[in-house]
Amino acid sequence: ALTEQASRLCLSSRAFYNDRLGAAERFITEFFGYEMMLPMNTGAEAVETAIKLARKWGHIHKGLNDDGYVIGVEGNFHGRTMGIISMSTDPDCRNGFGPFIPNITAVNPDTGSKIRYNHAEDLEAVLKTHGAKVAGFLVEPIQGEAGIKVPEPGYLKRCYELCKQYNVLFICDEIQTGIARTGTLLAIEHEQIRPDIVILGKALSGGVYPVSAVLSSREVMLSIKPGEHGSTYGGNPLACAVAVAALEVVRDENLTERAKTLGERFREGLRKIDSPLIKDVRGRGLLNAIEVNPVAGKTAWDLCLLLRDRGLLAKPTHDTIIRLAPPLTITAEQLDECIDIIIKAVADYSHGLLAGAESFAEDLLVKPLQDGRVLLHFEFSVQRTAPAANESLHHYELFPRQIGEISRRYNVDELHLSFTQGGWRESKWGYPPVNSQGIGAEVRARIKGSNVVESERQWKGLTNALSGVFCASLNFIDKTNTATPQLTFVDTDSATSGVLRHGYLPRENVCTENLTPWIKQLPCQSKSGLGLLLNPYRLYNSDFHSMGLSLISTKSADGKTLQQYKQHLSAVVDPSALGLGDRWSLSELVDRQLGAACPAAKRSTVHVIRPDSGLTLEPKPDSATQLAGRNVSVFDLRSQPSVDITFEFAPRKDSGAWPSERTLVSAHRYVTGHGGSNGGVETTLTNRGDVPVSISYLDVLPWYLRVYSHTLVIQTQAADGSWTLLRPTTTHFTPAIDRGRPSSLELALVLPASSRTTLRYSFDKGFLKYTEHPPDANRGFNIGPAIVSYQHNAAGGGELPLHCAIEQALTGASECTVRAYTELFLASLPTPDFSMPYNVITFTCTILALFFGRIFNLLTRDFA
Amino acid sequence: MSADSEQNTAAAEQNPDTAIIAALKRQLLRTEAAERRRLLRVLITGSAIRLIILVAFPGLVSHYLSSRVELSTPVTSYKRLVEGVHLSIHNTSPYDGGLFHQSPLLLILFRLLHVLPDLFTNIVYVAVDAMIALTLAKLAAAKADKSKSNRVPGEIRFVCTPSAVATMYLFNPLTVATTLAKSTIVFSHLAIVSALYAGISGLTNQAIMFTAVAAHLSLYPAVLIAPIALMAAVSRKQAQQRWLVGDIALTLAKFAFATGALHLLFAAVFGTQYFMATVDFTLRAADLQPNVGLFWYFFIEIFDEFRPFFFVVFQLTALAFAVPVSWRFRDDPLFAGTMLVGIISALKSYPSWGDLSLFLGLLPLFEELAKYLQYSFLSANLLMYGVGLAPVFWHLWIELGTGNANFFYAATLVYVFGQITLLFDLGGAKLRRELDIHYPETRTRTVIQE
Repeated sequence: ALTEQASRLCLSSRAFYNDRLGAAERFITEFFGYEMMLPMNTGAEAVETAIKLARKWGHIHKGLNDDGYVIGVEGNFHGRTMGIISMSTDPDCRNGFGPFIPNITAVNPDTGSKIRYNHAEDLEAVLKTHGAKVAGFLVEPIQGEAGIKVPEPGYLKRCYELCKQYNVLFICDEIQTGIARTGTLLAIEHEQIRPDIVILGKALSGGVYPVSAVLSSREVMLSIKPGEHGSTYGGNPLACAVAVAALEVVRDENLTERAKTLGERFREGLRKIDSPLIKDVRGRGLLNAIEVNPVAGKTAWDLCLLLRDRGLLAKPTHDTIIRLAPPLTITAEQLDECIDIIIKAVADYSHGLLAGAESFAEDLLVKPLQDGRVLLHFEFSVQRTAPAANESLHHYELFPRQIGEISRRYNVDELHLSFTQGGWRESKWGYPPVNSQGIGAEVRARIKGSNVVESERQWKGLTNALSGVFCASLNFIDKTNTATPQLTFVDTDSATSGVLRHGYLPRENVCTENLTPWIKQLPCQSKSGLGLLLNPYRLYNSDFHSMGLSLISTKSADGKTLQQYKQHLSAVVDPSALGLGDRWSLSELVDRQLGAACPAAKRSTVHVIRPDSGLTLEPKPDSATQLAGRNVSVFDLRSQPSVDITFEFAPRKDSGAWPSERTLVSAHRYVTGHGGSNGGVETTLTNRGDVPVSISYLDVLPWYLRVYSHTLVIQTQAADGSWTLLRPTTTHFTPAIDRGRPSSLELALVLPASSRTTLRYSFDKGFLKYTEHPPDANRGFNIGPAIVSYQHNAAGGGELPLHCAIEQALTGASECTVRAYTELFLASLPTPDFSMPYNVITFTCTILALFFGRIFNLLTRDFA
Repeated sequence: MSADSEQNTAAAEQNPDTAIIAALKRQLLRTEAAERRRLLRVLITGSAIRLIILVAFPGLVSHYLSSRVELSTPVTSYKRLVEGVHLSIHNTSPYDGGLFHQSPLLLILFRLLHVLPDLFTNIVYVAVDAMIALTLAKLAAAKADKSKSNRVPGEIRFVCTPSAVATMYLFNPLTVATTLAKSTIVFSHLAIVSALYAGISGLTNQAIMFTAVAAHLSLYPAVLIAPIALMAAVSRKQAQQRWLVGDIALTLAKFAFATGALHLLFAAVFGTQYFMATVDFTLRAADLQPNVGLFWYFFIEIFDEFRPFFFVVFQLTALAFAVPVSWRFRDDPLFAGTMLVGIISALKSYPSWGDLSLFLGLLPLFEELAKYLQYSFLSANLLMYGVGLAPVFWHLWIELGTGNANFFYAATLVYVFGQITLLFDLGGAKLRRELDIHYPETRTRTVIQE
C-alpha cells in the first residue's frame, strides 16, 4: 500500500481534498467506533493535540478561562515534547528543561504530592478541590515506560467514573497499548470503558511510517474550529494509505485474538521459571515485563546481556525490569523459542551468581596499641570455585574480573602483592596483622609449569598487568630484581606446584592512585559497608600503612580448585596527632561515616581487640570472643546498620592493662663499612623464646652490590654472653649477574633459645654507567629488606601472631608461619661526574691518538 | 781486584800466554760465583721482606692492599678468586655469576691451597715473585751473551748484571705492593718472562706453551707470540741466513692449537658461561670498576649507541700493533716483546700497577739504551705523579667524598701518558742506537725528525 500510494501522491495541503484522507477517516472512525478523528504524525504530537483539545473543550464547555488543568499520573510517559514533560515525574525527562507549562501536571496542586498510578483516591482528591478547573485526565491503560505497570482491575473504571462525575475528559493514551497489543483492540476495553479521547500511534502504521491519530466524539473534536490546529504531514495520503492497510492486517489476520492467546501462552511459560531472581512476570497480551531481583550489584542489564548472547534483544527499564513486546505477528513456535531463551538465560544468570559459590566477607579489626596509636586492619575476602581450565565462559560476580583474568592468562595460582609505607614497630606493636610488611612494593607469584623461559615470560607479563591494574611501577620488576626463593615461602601451599618468583621494589611510593583501583575490586567498592571507611587522607596520613592482596588456590576434595582472594589494608593511626583525646569515635578517626553492611557480604563485622581494662565501647557490642588470648568485642554491621563505635580510654596510669607485645623472633639489618667502594651487611636475629627456633633467612641484593659469599660469618650469643659460631643447616646462594639477576642468599638456621645471632657478610659496590643512575644519584639506592620466616610454635611461648589468630578464627588453620621483614637500607654508590661525557671522550681519545701517532712514527721512521 | 791483578802479573811472568788465560778464567769464575751469590742474596732478601709483611700484617694485606683498585682488577682480584673457590667448593659454577672472571687454572691451584693454612698461599706468591726475578736475571745473562757482538764502538761493559736486574724487579715498590695484594697477575707475569726466556734460549716449544698459559691467564699476552715466533725464526736464520716463513707459521699454528685446546677444555667443563665470564668479559670491559687504565671512565660516560664501536677501537689499538712492532724490531725480538708488554700495560682493559711493574722489570735488560733516552725525566715524573696521585685522589673521591671521579680519572690519564712517553722514548732510543751501531760516524749528530 505504501509503495502504491507513494507512486501516486505523497502529500497535499489540508486545504485541498484528496481521495485518501476521507476514506481513511471513515475507515478508522468506524474501526474504533468513534465519531471523529484527527490525524497527526507522531505519538507525542497526538498527545499534544489531545491536551489542546481538552483545554479548548474546557474553555467552551466548562467556562474555563485559560486556566484549565490537564492532569496525569505518576510515572507517566507520553512523549518528550514540552507540554508532555511538564506533566512528567521522571527527573531524567525533566531536569534542565524547565520552565514548564503551567497547569499540565501529575502533581496535586494543593498538597504537592504526586498523583499515584493505580490509586484512584489521589485523582479523587484532586478533582474534589479542583474538579471545576480540570479539563482532562490523561492516562495510560498500562504504563509502558514505567515498566509495564498493569493497574488493578477497576482502577481505570473508577477514574472514568470520577471524570464523568466532575465533567472531566477521560483521555486514554493507547499509543503503546492500542491496536491489538494487549489482546483487545484497545487496552482500555479490558475495563469496558469508552474514553472521551483516544490517542493512537506506533502500531497504527504497522511500523512503516509515522502516523498517529486522536479519536474523539464530535462534541469534543469540534471544540477546535478549522484553522485553529493543523499539521503539514498530518493525514497525508501516504500515511492514510499505510494506516488503513495496517488496520486491515490487524482485522484480517485477527491479531487481536492472537495477541491474547499468545500473551497468555508467553506469561504462562515465563511463570514456570522458578527462580528467586524473578520477582514478577506481568503484562497483557503481548505487552509483558519481567521484573528481576537485583543481586550483588547485578541488574536487569546483565540479564539482557545474557539474552543478547543467546539471540534475544530486550531492553531494560529502571534497572530491574525487562520489557518484552514481541511483534504481534510472532508465531507460537517463535514465542516458545523466546521463552526457552529466557529460561536458559535466567539459568545462566543464576549459575553465574552461584557458579563459584562466590561468597564475600568484610571485617575490620581495630586494635588500640600500647603507645596510644590504633591499628585498623580491613580484610575483604572473596571465595569461589575456579572455572575449569576448558571452560570458555567466565562469570565474575563478586570475584574481581581483573584478578581472575590475570590468574588465567599468566598461569598464576598464587599471587601476593603488597604496598607498604612506614616501618612496622615490632617492639611496640607486636605482631603485624599481615605477613608482608616490608616497605615498598612486593610481588610474589607461583607460576604453573616448569618451563623456565616460559615462566620468565609469564612473570614479566604478570608484573606488567599488575602495574596497569594498580597504577604502580611494578613493571620495573624484571629479572634484575626477581629472586626465586626456595625456603622462605614454603608455607603457602597451593593447588599446583610451580616456580615461585619474588620481586621487590623498595622505592615504590604508595598513594591514592594505588588505592582507587584496589577499592574498585571490592564488590561494594566504597559505597557501602566497611569500604565506606576507606578515606585515603586518613589512611595515608598514618605511621604505618600496608595495602595488599593475595590469591590462594586450594584443591577441594572433589578435585575442584577453590580460589580465595583476600584484600587487606592496615593502617596505624595516631588519634592524638588528629587532635583526638581519650574519647573518640571510629568516624572521627577515619573522617568517614560507617553505613550499612555491603549487601553482598555474608559477614560484615568490626572486631575490637581490647586491652585488659580501661576501654569502654559505645554502643554495646553484639558479641564477645577471644583472639590470640585477648578479649575481642564484635559488632555485626548486618544487624546494626549505621553504627558508629565510640572508644573511651581510661587515663593510662597502669601499664599492666597493655600487655607487652614482642614477637618471638625479631630481625634488624644494618649496613656496615664506610667509603664508597665496599661495605657489608650485618643482621641481628633475636630469639626471645625458651626453645630453639628454626628460621629461614632470605636476603636479595641487587647486582651492583657484589656479595662475597665466602665472607659470611654467623655468630650467636647465648644468654650468658658467650659467642659461638653457628652453621646454617642449608645454604642457597645464587650469585648476581651484572644487569642480569640479583644475588640471593637463603639460609636455614636454628636459633638457640634466648639468643642473639649476628650474620655478617661483605660486598663491593659496583660502578654504574652514568645512564643507570637515578636522577637523584647521590641519594643512593634503596635496598629491599631481608625476610626471616619461621613457624610459630606454641611451645616457644608468647602470644599467637595476629594474622594467624585471624586466620584461625576464620578457617581454623593451625599452621602459623610468621615472617619478619628487616629495615631497608640505603646504599650510596660512587657516582661519576654527570656533566663530563664530552670531556671524557675528548681526553681519553687524545691519549689514544697520542699513542697512535707515536707508534706510527716509530714504525715508519727511517734513520738510514 | 788488586790482589787478583798482582797474582795475574806473577803468573804472566812464568808462562805469559797460558797463565794469563788461566787467570782470566779464574777471575771470570770468581766473578760469576760472586754474581750468583749476589743474586741469591737478592732473592732471599726480597722474598723475606714479602713473607714477613704478609705474615706480620695480614690485616694490611687483606683489608687495605687487596681491595685497592690500582692493584686488584676484576680479573686479578684475590678476593674474587677466593669467592670463586668458595663457590666451586659449594658446587656452584663460579662462572655463573658476575664476580669471578679468572682462569680455571688458578681455580684448581687455589682449591688445593684452600685446604692448607694461609702460610702456603703466601709462600706461593713469594715464590712466584722470586721465580720472576730469577727468570729476569737469567734473561739478562742470556742477553748479555748474545749481544756481545752487537755493540756500538767505544761502549763499555754492562753494569746491569743479572743480580741488578733481579734487584730492580724485586725491590720495585709497585712489584712489592702487587705481591702483597696477592694480585693474580703475577702468575701471568711468570708465564710471560718464562716464555721470553725459553724463546731467547731457543726452546721454542716451551716458549709457545708459556705464552699460551699467559694468554689463558690474562688474554693480552697472546700478542707475545709474535716476538716468540721471531725468536724461533732468528735462531734458524743464523743457520740459514734467511727468514723462514714456514717457521713463523708453524709457531703460530702450535700456539693456536695450545690456546684453543686450553679454552676448549675448560669450556667443556664449565660451559659457555666460562667464555663469557673470561674472554668476553675482558674484551668488552664489562665491569666498570675504576683502574689505572683508560677504559672504565670512558665506558661509564659514553653514550650507549657508541659503546660497541669504541670497544672495537680501544681493543684494536691495544692489540693490532703486535705484528708491526715485532717486525720493526725483528733483529731483537726480546726488545719487541718488552715493547708489547709496555703497550699491554698501558692499553689493556683492566690494567694495574702490576702490569707496569713487569714492564719496569724488563727495562734494565736494555740498560744500554739508557743514555739514548731523551724524555726520561718527563716520563719518570709522569709515572711518579700518576702512581702517587691515584691513591690520594681515590681517597678524596671515594672515602672523603670531597673530590669526584674526575680527580682519579686525571691521575690515570697522567699515568697512561707517562707509560706511553716512556714506551716510545724507549723505541726511539733503540732505533737511534741501531743507527749508531751501523753508522758509528753519525754518533755525535743529532737526528732531525722529518
